[in-house]
Amino acid sequence: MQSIRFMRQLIRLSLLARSFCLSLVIITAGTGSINAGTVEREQARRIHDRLTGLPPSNSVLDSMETLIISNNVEGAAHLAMENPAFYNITLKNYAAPWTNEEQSVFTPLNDYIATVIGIIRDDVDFREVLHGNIIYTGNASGIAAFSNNNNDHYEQLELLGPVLGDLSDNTILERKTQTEVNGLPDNATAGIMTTRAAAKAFFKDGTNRAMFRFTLMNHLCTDLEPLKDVSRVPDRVRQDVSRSPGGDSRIYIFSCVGCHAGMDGMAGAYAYYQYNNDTEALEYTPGLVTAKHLINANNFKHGYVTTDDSWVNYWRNGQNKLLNWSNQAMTGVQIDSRGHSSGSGAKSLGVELANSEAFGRCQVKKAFQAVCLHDPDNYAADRLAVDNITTSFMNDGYNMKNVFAKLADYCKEPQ
Amino acid sequence: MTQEQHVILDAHRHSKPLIQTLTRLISLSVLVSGLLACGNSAEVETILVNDGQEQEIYSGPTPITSEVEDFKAEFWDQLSPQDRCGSCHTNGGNASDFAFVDLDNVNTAFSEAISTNNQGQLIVDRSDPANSRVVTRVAEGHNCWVDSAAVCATIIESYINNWVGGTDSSSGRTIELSAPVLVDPGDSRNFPETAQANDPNSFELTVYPLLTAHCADCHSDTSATPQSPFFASADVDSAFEAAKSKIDLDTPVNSRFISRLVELHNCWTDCSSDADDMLTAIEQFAGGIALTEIDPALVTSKAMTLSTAILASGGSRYEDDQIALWEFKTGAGSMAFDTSGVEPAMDLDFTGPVDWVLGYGIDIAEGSKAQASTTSSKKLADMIRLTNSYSIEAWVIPANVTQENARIISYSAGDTARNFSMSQTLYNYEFMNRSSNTDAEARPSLMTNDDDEDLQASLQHVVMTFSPVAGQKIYVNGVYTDDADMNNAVNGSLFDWNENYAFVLGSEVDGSNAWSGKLRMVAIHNAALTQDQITQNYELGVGQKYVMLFSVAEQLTISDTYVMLEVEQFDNTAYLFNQPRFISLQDGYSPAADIPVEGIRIGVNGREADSGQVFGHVNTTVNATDYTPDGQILSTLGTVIALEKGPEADEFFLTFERLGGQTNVRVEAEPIIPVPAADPEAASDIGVKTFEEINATMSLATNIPVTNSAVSSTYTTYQQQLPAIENISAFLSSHQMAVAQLAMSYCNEAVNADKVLASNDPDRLFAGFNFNATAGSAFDNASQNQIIEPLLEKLSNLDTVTPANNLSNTQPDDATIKAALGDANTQDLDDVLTGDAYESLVTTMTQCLPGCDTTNRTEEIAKAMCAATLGSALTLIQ
Repeated sequence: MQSIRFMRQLIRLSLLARSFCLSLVIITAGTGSINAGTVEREQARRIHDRLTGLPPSNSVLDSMETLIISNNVEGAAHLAMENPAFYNITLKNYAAPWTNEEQSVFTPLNDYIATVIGIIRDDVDFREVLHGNIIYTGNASGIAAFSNNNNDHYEQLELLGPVLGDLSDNTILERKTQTEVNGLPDNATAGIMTTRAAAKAFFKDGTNRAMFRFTLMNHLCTDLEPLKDVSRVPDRVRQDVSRSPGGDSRIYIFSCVGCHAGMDGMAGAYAYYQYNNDTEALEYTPGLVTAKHLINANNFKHGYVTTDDSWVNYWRNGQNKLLNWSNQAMTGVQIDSRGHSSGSGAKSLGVELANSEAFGRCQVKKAFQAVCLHDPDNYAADRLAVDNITTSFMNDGYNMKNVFAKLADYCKEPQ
Repeated sequence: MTQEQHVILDAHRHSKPLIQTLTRLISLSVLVSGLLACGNSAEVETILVNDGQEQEIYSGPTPITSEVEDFKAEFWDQLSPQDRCGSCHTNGGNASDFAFVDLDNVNTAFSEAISTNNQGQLIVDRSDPANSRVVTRVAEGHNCWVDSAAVCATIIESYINNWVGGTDSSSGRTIELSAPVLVDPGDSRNFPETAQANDPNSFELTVYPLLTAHCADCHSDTSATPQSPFFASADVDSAFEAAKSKIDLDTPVNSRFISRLVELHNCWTDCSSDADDMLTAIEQFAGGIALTEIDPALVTSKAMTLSTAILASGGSRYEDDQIALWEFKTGAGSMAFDTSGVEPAMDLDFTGPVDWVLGYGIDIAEGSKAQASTTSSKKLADMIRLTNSYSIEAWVIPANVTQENARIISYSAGDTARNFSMSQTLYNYEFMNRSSNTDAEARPSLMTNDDDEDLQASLQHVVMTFSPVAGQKIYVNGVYTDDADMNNAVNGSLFDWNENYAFVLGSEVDGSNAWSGKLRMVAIHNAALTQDQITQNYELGVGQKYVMLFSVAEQLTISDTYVMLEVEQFDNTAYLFNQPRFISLQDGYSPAADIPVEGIRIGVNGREADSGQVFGHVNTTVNATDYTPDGQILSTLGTVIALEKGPEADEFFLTFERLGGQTNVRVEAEPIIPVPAADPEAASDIGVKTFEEINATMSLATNIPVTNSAVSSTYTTYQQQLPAIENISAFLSSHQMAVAQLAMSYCNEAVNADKVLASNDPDRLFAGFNFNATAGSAFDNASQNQIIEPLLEKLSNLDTVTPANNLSNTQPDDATIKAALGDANTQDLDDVLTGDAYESLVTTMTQCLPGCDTTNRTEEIAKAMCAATLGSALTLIQ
């Protein structure tokens, strides 16, 4: 009924439009039936719509219907994902808002987006997105070469369109290491966090805390506000954080410190990175803490002074333990007697973040939104589905295509 | 064993050797005693009249040393007048036993001043001026010449500082450590979270009614004569905060509210009865609060309060050229005193709700100000024009970084006429200095650079200097901001300064350009301070500082061992605890064995503070190698801890996870998993396609590639007007307009491409349709299907060969579509609605016949049919 109501609304809209623009008529749906298709065919159509944004051809629909009838719904979803639009449209616009502070989807293709697309396309362990020495670049004639100083390479690749610039084609969008493309040493690479697009968005100006915040938002699906925990030891809160904003320490004691105690401990991992506004490139300064980490030191001179790129995760205890950090052995991550983890540099921080259950759950939730078109957190059944698919995702080599397929199965039933 | 040591606490946090100040004291005394034998005989006094003030001119023996010269200039000259100490504390006076301002002989006066009284107390303690008997006696109320005994004490202390302070920037503050009385941390009652908690024993229902009934005429921010603190504010939450420091929950009778009534302060019936009523109310309030008991598992130190802490006063501010100083120490009343000791005192009267800041300072709300009289303000013009140089120095806490053109400090007659101003505009400080190179408004001014964001809404030391050689300069937190003086002030003269202007804090004198924030100290110097001098003053900090010695002797079974912290009242809501160090007061102490120290937390009133436990991860060992006579630093960090009952009542102690052999294994509580809310109304099962999906779907349906220049151009134009998210509730009419535009573009290209091909060309989209027929004959049912069905096959998987395959549950019925577009009969939009009849698209577009019976009209109708199909829910919905 809901869909019918909406169609009627669209009709009214169309009538309004008709008086203005060339008598456009909007067509209603579901108002009558001549021949009923199979349920499986309807499901196949929805799966294809949701995964690719495009209607399927009848032949693809036939194949998907057959797979669904044989109880292979995920197989049908994988078939839909063979449509290049899954990469050229769905995944591109899925990742685009993660690459800028405004979270705008109207963002040109860049190395961050391309790398997310490539990792999913090639069934790479999705945790690499936060710590891998991995990047995807274009291989098409007539486009500018990759540059650390601009985004021309990717923008021109996108302008080629879905045929010449087909991102689903691994001969056009190629996997490489960041070391060979942008020159970062292996131990300084951290997946998308060390792409140029991320640097331009989150290492530009400021104090590099933006990289931490937006990584949380985009890959652990939480902003800082819900993570506030004023009970954590604030011994990593930097000098630039006023302990008495406007002369009222309560603001710091009962609010600011809730984020900074955990955030500043982990954001120390970015101490050697900055985005150069003049060269428009990411800069990595091993052994040299960038000035932005030491600014406004007189705001509270008894605060923490960043001396290296070490990080510590105090949110492994307290309420943020609910992010379910991994207790497995992880490269570059140590866990102390208090249960806090630590390491040096963005790469090991990426390992720490990517191995949390919150990371896995976040990927599932984002895919849920893309496939099922609503937030799963609000409904018990959806939460249970996300639980199950998250477990599967984390036990399944972090394969994102399988997540999309499982969600396509979960949301396949038209109501 | 001694229980006293002298330890340097310097602002750099560098450890320095001990200074035995007593040595210096003794040597000076011997020197002076020897020289006094050379003194000359008395001379006569004369009287001069200066600005209407009688001033005595000393004509006795000349000072025999430079030390005595300083004594005379900074101390004797200030206190020798008859209305101060000169009438008694002189040879032949009523208090000639303590003739420290002997009018006959300044050398004798000097000798008397540095001697002790019969209690062994130094009349003037040059190593600790605050400890001087001449200061403490006045502070006790002995013949102060202004209303506040504390102000007189401060002024005399400043005289002594001026005398002995000098300009030695290398010296740190010298603190005499002495063992405190050992007190166990006590169980305590703590204020509840809100004024409404514990009904019917809440603050709101017990104490607050008495306050609003009897104190609101003054102690309310909305009063006609507002007097801080505003514990009778109409806002109960604000009143609660202000009242906390006036209530002693553990011993209600000791509450300030009671003692003030006992002191006959504005009782409303008779004071005894009123005090009883207040006591009853406080007891009821306190009785509703459960006792917070010390957790027996904690490893604790002994307890300390600010009153048992050691004052870390003194130091060596550079004040040689200081001509006015407001330290805001009074903490009560409606006036801030100029304690520079330079006459005339520029005392500041408050207008509006100026509040006091604990630990020294005033809080200026927007619309309030603190202003000196024009008469006393004249001191600035007089003394600064003499040197043609000056500095404005202040410890400032802007309330925010959004206020513009707001005067922090001004010496003016309003916004258009001034001598100088320190102002805030967003993140910038502005220094307006009237000189021969500016107009009367002191424009052009010097503003800090926007990009530097030098002004922050936190405690900052700001110095603005002017000299004819260097022009104007601004220093923030001891650092020159590098903002070049662009206003040509170099070589400027202050000759045009108007001596009739008034000095004011927080706005212009007429109340315009109001500023909001706190001032912890303000000083004016009639010289441009040098970088070294500014650094010296900045590093000394502001406000009263303390040292707390938390005894750990019992836990360690090592006598006289302490964890020492530097403590200060950080603002009205918190204390600063800085740099814990382990120290013993035993001479020559060195740890006999390693002492592990882990996990230090600060306890307040019987429990560990919830937030700010910056020493919680300390993990170190006190050992003979690292321990020095100044102790061993356990952490270089500092933290702020929330004020609870107030500085007079809060009791502090330390807890340890490990201290020597004592341990308290801390187990983190498991987090509580939040219970999710019940399911809301079901979410929409369908959504809309987003911009690029719509574009690609249209491309797919029409066989026109997205790279086609015409459609690409349209898409680029309308891309951001198309839906950006799938949420169907967010779909707007503006989205539909963009969809229509894009559909028209695709269909225009599709028809144009088709019409040049043969009707049976396999590349045709609309196979078989005759574009050469005119509009009157081109659109029968079959030809309409040639337009509609190819699109439906792509958009809704219409299967005309096997209709059973059609998706009738989720896709539109093709017959309905065809009727809406081309049926000759009048159509009904909705069975339920009335008055919704309409003609089909073809019917409508052929109404112009026969005048429009052309092939052009055929193309237009075909494009319209295509666009109506393409720009519909067929494309839009997923």
